[in-house]
This record gives sequence, structure tokens and C-alpha cells, in this order.
Amino acid sequence: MKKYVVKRVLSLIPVLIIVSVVIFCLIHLTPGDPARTMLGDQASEIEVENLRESMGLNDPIVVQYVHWVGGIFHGDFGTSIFMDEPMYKIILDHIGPTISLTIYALLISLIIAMPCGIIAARKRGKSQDQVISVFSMVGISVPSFLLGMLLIILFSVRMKILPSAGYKAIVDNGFLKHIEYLTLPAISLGLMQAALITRMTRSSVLEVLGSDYIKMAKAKGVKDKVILIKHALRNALLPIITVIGQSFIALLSGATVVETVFNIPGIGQLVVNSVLRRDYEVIQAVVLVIALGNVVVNLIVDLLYGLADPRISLE
Amino acid sequence: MDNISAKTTNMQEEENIAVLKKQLKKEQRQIKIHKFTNNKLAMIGAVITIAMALVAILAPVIAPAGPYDMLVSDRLKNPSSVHIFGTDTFGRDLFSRIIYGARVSMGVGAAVSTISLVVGMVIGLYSSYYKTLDSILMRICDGLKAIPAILLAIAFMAVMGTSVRNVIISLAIVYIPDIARITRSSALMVKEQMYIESMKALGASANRIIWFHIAPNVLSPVIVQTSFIFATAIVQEASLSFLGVGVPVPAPSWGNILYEGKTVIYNAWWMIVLPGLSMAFPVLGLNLFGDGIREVMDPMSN
Repeated sequence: MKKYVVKRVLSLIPVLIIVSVVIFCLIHLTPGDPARTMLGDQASEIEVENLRESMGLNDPIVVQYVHWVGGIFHGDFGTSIFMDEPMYKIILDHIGPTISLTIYALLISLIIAMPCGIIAARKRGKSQDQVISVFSMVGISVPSFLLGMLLIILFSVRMKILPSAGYKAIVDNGFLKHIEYLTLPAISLGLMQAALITRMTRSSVLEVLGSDYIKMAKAKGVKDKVILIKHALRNALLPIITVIGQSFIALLSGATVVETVFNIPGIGQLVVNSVLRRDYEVIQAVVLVIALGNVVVNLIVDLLYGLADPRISLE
Repeated sequence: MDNISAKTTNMQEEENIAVLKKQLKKEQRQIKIHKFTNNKLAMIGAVITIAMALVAILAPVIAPAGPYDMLVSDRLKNPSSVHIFGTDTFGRDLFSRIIYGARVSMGVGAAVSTISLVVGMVIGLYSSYYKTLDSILMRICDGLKAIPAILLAIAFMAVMGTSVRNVIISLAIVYIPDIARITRSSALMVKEQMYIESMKALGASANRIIWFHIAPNVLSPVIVQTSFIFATAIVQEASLSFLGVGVPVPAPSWGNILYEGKTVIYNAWWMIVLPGLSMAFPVLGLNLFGDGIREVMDPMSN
């Protein structure tokens, strides 16, 4: 197991280097002078030159890269030209709502998806399975921001039972208010993921149900329920762990769009506002943080894999 | 004399075998086509996709008005017999804008999936064949995949500026690694087959082996993935435009229409529901279609 952990951690290095190069290069894709683009046409030549100097754009590109990466190791993710705060604080201020929304959406999608996937697998080909697969197909095809707006029309404009936009922090308004405001966003974000997890659960449970040891258990006369819980689910868990890990990241990035629909002051809104203000260093920092989060989550999933199935860490 | 007749019977037999093989192949193909046409959902998917493509192509014929024709007196009108989908905030006919929107949105989807298919296949095939190239290209793909699709696309759009061309480029960059990975992993399996080794022993060039013998055998999983990318690209284009970093306004893309709809969500439900359904329709079609092909191609699914 130790060897496996070390090997997995070392294999991250090339990925991290590529990620950092891609994100670093982003700013240099700007047509023309990034400093000029960021400040706009009205800025004077001196202001542009000052920004070029403070962003280090006058240095050779390799020096710029080394500086940038070196800064990251010291916790310096760049400076926003619009917000007078250190970058880590800007991100920390915005990450709370996003994490809250993501966890809520993940819970919703798991609560829907796991039973649906198992039922669909057990009743394969029967009406329950067909209904579930039609729903999951539709779920995959309706993007979250569209679903969000449809839910607003239904639950806020027509029925007036849930708020259409806004965010209430737990600290100031209590847990219930917090949940009330996040419910519609979490449903719209979580449903597509629920559809994906349902399909995944169904196929992995089906695969396990078709294996020899299940047939053996059946032949011995073990009850269906016991087979399902003791044998099938346990072995179907591996692919499901992966899906949950991937879902977390998918939801985190999907939140970008949903936050805009519901006016939630999270990471997504920070990115969109920074794009409109051309605050490139904020975009770089956010993309970097989420990519790092993704890499870490994938690492955790891989390590859990090793724990759940000892064969993997021995390979 | 005996020798010659033995030779001719041998040749005849070989010919017979060749004919039989051809027949077998033809039958196998027919079985696959039959399986596909028998798969109701897949057929529905294909029909929806083709219908939406036709709508996009025939937009000027179908749409009753131009996508930019404004009639200020007709602002935000309910769906009626004059405007079957109602009108938007500028008094433009929503039905016409959605029809023209199919051109932009389906066009972006088609362009993104074609570019990712071609470039991704080239990358995947060559990296399956050359080990050093493989380790470099696949690391780059890993790096790109580590950044969530929508964020990467937003970041590209932020620095490149909004335009249809840039939407296509940034989404293609996001999805090329997907095709490359799938091509590579199937190509690696094909590469182990005996016939590839025999081709090598016969002295066939690498390009010949890659394009004539490996490429045709990895096509089916790649096509399945491409149809999913087509669907996702439609959604991502709409998301980007909705966020204001996609197709510039006033072009009629589904995302732009929905963005406008959001501003009047309290009094004009049709601005959201109708373009939304129009977008979900082809996405559903493409997903059904991709699922159908996958079921036909994958013997395990039966």
C-alpha cells in the first residue's frame, strides 16, 4: 500500500506541470497586449506600462513562468487588478457558497440515483427499468442552467414557495434559511448528475449480478436481498466511488453556470465577473485552484480504490 | 496433369472461401444495421437529430421572419397565431430566432465534434503506435482533462474574445483529449492482434498500418463518443453564451435567447421554456443515437 501511494503521488507531477503550463499560457493567448486589453482603451500609456511591469510581462517568458510557479509555492496566486485583497482571500470569500451548493447537490443526486440505479438493474427490461432509463436520458439532456430557470418559473413565479435567487449564509441566517435558498439551485445542479450516476449504478450492479459468484450464491439458495446487499453492492461499489469523485468535480464546475442563474456569490460568479472585467489573474487563480482540487480528488479516489480492492495496490 | 487440376481446385476453393467471407461480412453488417433499426430509442434519436439538422439547413424557408426583424410595438407578446412562439424583448419573432438559432448552435456542435474527431483520432492513433510520442501527448491530454471543461472553455473565451470561431476553437480544445484517449485505448488493443504483426512482418509502412488497418477498427467507440461530444457541445455553447462569453449578441444562438429570457423570467415564460425545449430536443436525440450505436457495437450489452 505504501508503495502504491508513493507511486500515485509521483505520477501527479507531470500532470501538475502540464496544468500549470496550460493555465500560465492562457494569458498569453490574448490578441495584442494583455495589459492593454485588461485596462481598456482609456488607460494611458504609462498606466499600461506600469501594469506590464507589475505583472512581469516585460520579462522573458520562461522567467515569468518560474516566477509564477514560485509564487504559487509561497501561496501567492497573483493579484487582482480590481479587488484590493490578496488572491487567497478573494477565493476563500467566494468558495463557501460554492462548496455548500456542491455538497447539497451531490447529496440530492446520490439519494435519487443509488436506489434508482439498483431498482433498474434488478428489474432489468421491465417497466420500472424503462421508466428510469427514460428519465435518466431526459435528465442528461437538460442542462442545469435551463432546468434552474424552469424550476424558478414553476416554484418561484407560479407557486411562490421557494426563493428565485439569492444566498443566505449559515452564520447570519441559520441552517434552514441557508437550505431554503439553496434548494432550487441544488436540484437543478444535481439532477443531471443523478441521471449519470443512475446509469452508472445500473450497469455496474448488472455486471456484478451476472458474475459467477452471484450464480453460486443463488444456487446455494441465498435470499435475493442478501445477495444484493452483501455481494452485488459491495463489488459494484468501486466504479460507483469513481463516479462520486468525478461528480464532485463536475458539480463544482457546473456550479459556475447555476450560480449565475440564481445569483449566488460563489466561485462561478467570481469567474464570470472577472471575465467581464478582464481580470485575468483571478481567472488563472480560480482555474488553478479547481484543477488542483480535481487532481487531489482523483488521488483520493484512487487511494480509496486501493483500500476497497487490495488487488489494485498490489499490481 | 494431376498437379494442374489440384491447383485449379485449390484456387477454386480459395475463391469460394473469399466469396463466403464476403457474404459473412455482409450478413454481419446487415445484422448490425438490423439491430440498430430495431432499437426503437436509437431510431427516434436518429430521426430527431436529422430533423433538427434539416431545420437548421432550411431555416430561411421555415422561419416566417428574419432573426433580426424587430417590431417594437410587438414587444414581449404571448404565443399566438401571429407569433406561434411569441416575441422577445425587442419584438422579434421568437420562433424565427429559435429556428435560426439551430443554425448557430447545431453548427457549433457539428464543427466542434468534427474537429475533435479528426484531431483526436490523429493524436490517439499516432500515440498508440509510437511510445515516446505517447507519453508526451497523453500527459498533455491528462493536464487538459484535469481542468473541468466549462472552466477551461470560459478561460479560453475570456482571453480570446467572444466570437463563434473562438467558441468552436475553445470547445474543440476541451474535447480533443476525450477522442484521443478513446482512440488510443482501442488502438492499443487492435495493435496487439496477429494481423497487425503480420503486416509489420510484410514490411508495411507505419502510416499504412495506422490508417488502413488500425483506424477502421477503432471507429465504432470513437463515433459513439463523437455523438456525445456533439450533444455536449450544443449545451456548452449555450452555457457560454448564457454567461455572456460565447456567441456575441444579437446573433440568435439558443444560449443568447435563454440569456435574454432570464431577464424577463417573471413575465415571459415562453422566452425560457420554448428555446429550452428546442435545445433539449437535439441533445436528447444525439444522446439516444449514441447510446443506440453503443448497444449495437458492444456485444456485451446483450
